[in-house]
Amino acid sequence: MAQVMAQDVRQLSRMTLDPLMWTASLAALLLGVSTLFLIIIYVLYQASGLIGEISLGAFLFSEAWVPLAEPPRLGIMHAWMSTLYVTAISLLVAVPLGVGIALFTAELAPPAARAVLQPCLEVLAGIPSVVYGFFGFVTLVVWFEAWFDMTTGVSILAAGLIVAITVTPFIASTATEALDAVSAGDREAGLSLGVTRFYTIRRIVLPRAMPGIFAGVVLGFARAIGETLAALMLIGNSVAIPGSVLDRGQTLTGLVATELGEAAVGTPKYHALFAASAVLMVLILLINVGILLAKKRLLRHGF
Amino acid sequence: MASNPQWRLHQPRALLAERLFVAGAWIAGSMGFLLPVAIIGYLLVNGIGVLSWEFISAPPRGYPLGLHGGILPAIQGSLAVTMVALGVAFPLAVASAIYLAEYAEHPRFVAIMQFLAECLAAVPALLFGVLGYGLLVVQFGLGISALAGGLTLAMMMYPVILIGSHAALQSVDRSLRESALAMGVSRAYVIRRALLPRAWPGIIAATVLAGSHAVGSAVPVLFTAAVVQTRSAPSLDSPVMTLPTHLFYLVSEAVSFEHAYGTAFVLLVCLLFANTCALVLRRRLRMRGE
Amino acid sequence: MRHALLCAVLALLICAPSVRSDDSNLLLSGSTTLIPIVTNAAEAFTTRYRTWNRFDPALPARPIVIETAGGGSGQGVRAVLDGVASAGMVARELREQELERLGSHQAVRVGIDAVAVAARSDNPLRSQRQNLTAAELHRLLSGEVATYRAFDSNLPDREVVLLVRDASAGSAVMIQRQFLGETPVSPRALQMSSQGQLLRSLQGNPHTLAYISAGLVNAHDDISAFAIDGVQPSDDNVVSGAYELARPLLIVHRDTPNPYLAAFMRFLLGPDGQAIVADLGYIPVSAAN
Repeated sequence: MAQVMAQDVRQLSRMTLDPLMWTASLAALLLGVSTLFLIIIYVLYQASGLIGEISLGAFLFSEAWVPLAEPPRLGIMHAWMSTLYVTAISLLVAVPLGVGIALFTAELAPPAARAVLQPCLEVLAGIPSVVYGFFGFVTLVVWFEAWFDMTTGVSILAAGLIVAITVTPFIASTATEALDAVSAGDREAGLSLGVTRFYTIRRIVLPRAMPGIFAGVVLGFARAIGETLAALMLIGNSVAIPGSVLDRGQTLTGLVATELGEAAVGTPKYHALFAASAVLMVLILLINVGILLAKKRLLRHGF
Repeated sequence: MASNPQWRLHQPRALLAERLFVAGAWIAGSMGFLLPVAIIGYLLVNGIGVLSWEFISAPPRGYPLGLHGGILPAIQGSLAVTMVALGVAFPLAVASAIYLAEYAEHPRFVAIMQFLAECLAAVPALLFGVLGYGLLVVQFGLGISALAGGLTLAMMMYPVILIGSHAALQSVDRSLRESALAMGVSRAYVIRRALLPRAWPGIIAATVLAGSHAVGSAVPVLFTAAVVQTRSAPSLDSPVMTLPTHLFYLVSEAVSFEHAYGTAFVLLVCLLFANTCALVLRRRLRMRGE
Repeated sequence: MRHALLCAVLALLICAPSVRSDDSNLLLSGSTTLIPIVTNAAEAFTTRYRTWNRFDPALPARPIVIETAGGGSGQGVRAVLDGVASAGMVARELREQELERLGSHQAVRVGIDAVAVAARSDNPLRSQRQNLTAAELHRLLSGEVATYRAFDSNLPDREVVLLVRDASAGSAVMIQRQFLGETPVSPRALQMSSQGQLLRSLQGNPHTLAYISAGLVNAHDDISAFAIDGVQPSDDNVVSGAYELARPLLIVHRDTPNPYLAAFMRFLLGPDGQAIVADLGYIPVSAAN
């Protein structure tokens, strides 16, 4: 009797619990993922107020950001150029460093070094942006003033270097994964031909891992253009078009973060700041599509 | 190493390239070790002098505010906001991961969802803050509050926990669930009794990392939850101070670098603690997997 | 356990909006210039009275909680419009657009802040001149003269490092209107995100020139202000209107303030509150009336 009842209960639970969990978990998934669309729609909706105020070309390529002029001049060229500079500097530093770390971890490191390096990189990835900004402020900025005899050390270069540190761990860990995924067989085939390890890595391992490394670099790129506070605290917040890396600038994220608080709702400036966010959003989405394509290629190569 | 016979087969140039490569990789590897050690060491060494009982047990005082006193409300606020964020993001993300790993039938659907989650994970924190202000604070009437800040952080944490948990669930042995299902028990039962216990360390590790990011992120909280000064104990409907926004205030208003070091110290200790937990959990997962 | 957690969170989500009816907690949000005034006043008010009824017996015996948030003057107005703060702190006159959107409201002046053009006392220009004319300021601020030598051939050949606030800050708007008109501010100028940072940079470098809250200049001995067209930024000159670079420090709120805010405003405008305003180097409204 008891056995039958237990079976009944089990049957019942299968009938009720499963659909319940199915529904609940699907609902959770849809709710969670919908925030992406929420952000996109919200940003685009708020940016749409700019349509008719200013042409896209003028918005992106006119040189002046003077929101208080009559009529307001709302060019964000200085911002995306600063973002470009900062991103370029950070990738120039972070890509060789990150890929170097990955090569070391995947190809050379003794297991003990690997075991130490991985948590180190995780800590590096976990340091909050505002702490990086502060760190840069008390080190790089002070050093720059001494080295380059600058009146103030805040500059695109300082921001770029700190952002480089923030993206290095992402590039390193993604690239390590990609290198690890190259089969040992391929590697040994190379070595058994009697060529050096460097040759094997350059000719056999790297080409195979390239899509994965590329995905890591692109991920780093996305991080770099989205970085807000670390760059904001070090770049000097100037609306002039930057001419060199020692100039001050203002990234897209910095522009939005600084000016949104001062923008009255419904003014062209307010919409322009959302339009700048939309530019950022579009870039991020494009980058992710790029990563997806790279991964697809990786899979195809893997098979 | 140079005694490896393969090397002698080659010209000096190949040997040189090999040596350069090895040297370069070792340099990069040691940078990967030295950078975090140097940064954290620098901040900790400078911060520890500021630390005192008063610093962690008193509210900020002085003019400008924060010059004296401590950072107690910021610690409380950070805790409150993170708890809210975890409380919302964790169940949602784990449930979503269970759906993706166990219930979803079309691989294409899983791939699309994964892609969307990755996009979401790449959205700059700033945009979450902007959305949080526009939607949660104003539209939903939550006001500048710990709840609004926590929910904003939850949106940010969600994809990170989802991706980590999904990977953890997938790494559980396939045959285990198939043999269990073959015995006629429900899927829910298999998930609860067989899969989750094994995936648990991985899920928690992802959550801990996402949580430590949430503790440290200033921008989303700046728009949705943060005030410069508060005296009330944190509650859901009142605004809070948080560690990262307080640090930002101290530095950007140039109030006190000394206290900024101290605040950074406390933040970093939280981070290191979280990382150690994640590491231990992941070790445990690996041991159980073997 | 997880179910319990889930239920708790859902319950919180449902209840949260309804707990927000407690308006005895005041939140003032907006200009960073006003933050020290309001925080210091709130600090004094809270420590002295602790509960609302001790300040005004008509109010209930609830503990006093007054919080401040930054974000800038624009954010102050926005917070009032969006209903997320009890009052906004605005360190400039309200703009037409803002007046329109606010509809019926009150903007209470709690002090006046003069903006001074200042430099370190050992600045090459400051050590020779105590006065600048509007035309000279136009040349300096627009970046027309890049070095002190270009400004005056007796001065050293060093770059004039201009420190400015971001274009939307209250003081920047005023300077723009007063001296520059349509001409944009020099592109080489360093934009500072806050008064505090500006002060620190100004103190740190003898070649900098900046416009900054006169209150801060008075409070620090190592920097000093220029007279403009012969008028010193003294309290008397500001109050009489002779020194034109001054802005009101406003607390903006919806038409009828809740009784708690009204009580705090009474304190802020009373002798104790105004003493705090004066202590911080600003001009109390009692002097202006």
